[in-house]
Amino acid sequence: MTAQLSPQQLDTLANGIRIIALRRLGDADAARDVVQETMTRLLDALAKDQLRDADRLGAFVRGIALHVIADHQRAAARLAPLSDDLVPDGRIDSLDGLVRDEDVARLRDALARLSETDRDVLHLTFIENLSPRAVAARLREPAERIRKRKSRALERLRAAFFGDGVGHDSKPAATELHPNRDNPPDPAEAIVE
Amino acid sequence: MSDRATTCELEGTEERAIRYASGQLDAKSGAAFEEHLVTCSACQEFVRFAVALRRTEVFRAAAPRRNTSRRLGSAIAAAVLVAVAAGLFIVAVPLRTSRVRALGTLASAPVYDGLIVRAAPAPSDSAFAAAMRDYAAGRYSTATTELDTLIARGTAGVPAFFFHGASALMLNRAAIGRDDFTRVVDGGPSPYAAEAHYYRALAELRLNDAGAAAADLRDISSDAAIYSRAHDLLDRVEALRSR
Repeated sequence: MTAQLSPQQLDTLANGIRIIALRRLGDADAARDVVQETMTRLLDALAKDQLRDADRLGAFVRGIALHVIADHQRAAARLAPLSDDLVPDGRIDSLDGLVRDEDVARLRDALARLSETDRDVLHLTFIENLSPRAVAARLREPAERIRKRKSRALERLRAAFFGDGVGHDSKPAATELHPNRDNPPDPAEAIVE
Repeated sequence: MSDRATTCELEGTEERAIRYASGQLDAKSGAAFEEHLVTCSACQEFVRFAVALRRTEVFRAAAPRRNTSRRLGSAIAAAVLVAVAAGLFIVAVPLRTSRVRALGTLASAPVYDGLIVRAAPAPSDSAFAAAMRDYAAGRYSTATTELDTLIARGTAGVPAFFFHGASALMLNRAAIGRDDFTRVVDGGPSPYAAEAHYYRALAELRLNDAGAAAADLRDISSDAAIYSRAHDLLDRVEALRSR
């Protein structure tokens, strides 16, 4: 089966790899290197028909990325064996570079406009990792109301963060990795699937 | 796909994105989410949203404040009690919390002694051995990445989950460590079971759950090698809980 990855699909894959790399390396420059190397290996692998199932594209790409990240970490360890403790090493704040300060400020304003209880629901759910039932018990409200509070609060925050861009359907790239019937790819440019 | 925010056709991805950005997904769920994330621009936007959410101080500071009694008989008594309770809350709760979390500190990682417990080598053994080389060298993030691959393939055994959890503890990802050790414990009797209870207790202490930690420490049998350490830790946990 022959298919072509559009520039948008390539962008999506590159962004996804960047998040995975940032998550583990905590370094924007290193993440950029991982993206480039992973995309190179991916395109090479696709050209060699190594992806058997288009629905497994995500797992395929992630697998390549993890190998590249592991190579990068080993190389970094060889170059600076004594600095291991100084490497961010996958801390959860390693993703902070994904958002701008103004994005955070906008969200902060939206959070401040939520009721105290709604903020508590979000905190207990996502920071203390409690189930809706446990949150309900803690706040002494019915679980169903807690679910509604959470859903409503997230919706408001999402609207503040994304603006009017919410609501467009999107399918994963894998589902789009099929022959383009309306505009068949040039065999010379096609990526073998 | 577009540069604009989108919605994902799968259910619950927004919550998963928030948990992913907070380091709260266990290895298997994290792997599954990343496999989806890499092809889904909507979920990539959700991760950005989740990161921004985590960076907001308002969200971090929004702690529950629900236990103060609202129905006191007299206004004076209420005022006094609220003042005392507020003082205790401000001073004692953070102090107790920090002490509980301090008990969960892990000075050195559990040792991997390379013990071969399998009679015949399995295909995943070499990948596991590579992960263990990195683990033994203190490269916990690399070891985690390699163990993630094994877990995603479905070829991970109890030791893989145990050392994935140990690596998570060393990387200060207590929630992931707790989930990994839970898989080891739930897997039934194994050479790792007693230690899994102990290290899960450490993870629970880091998560400020002293009750669960105490229960785990009590579950460790007196003939386990780690029993004396567990017993000492249990004494300290119980002392803190009784204050």
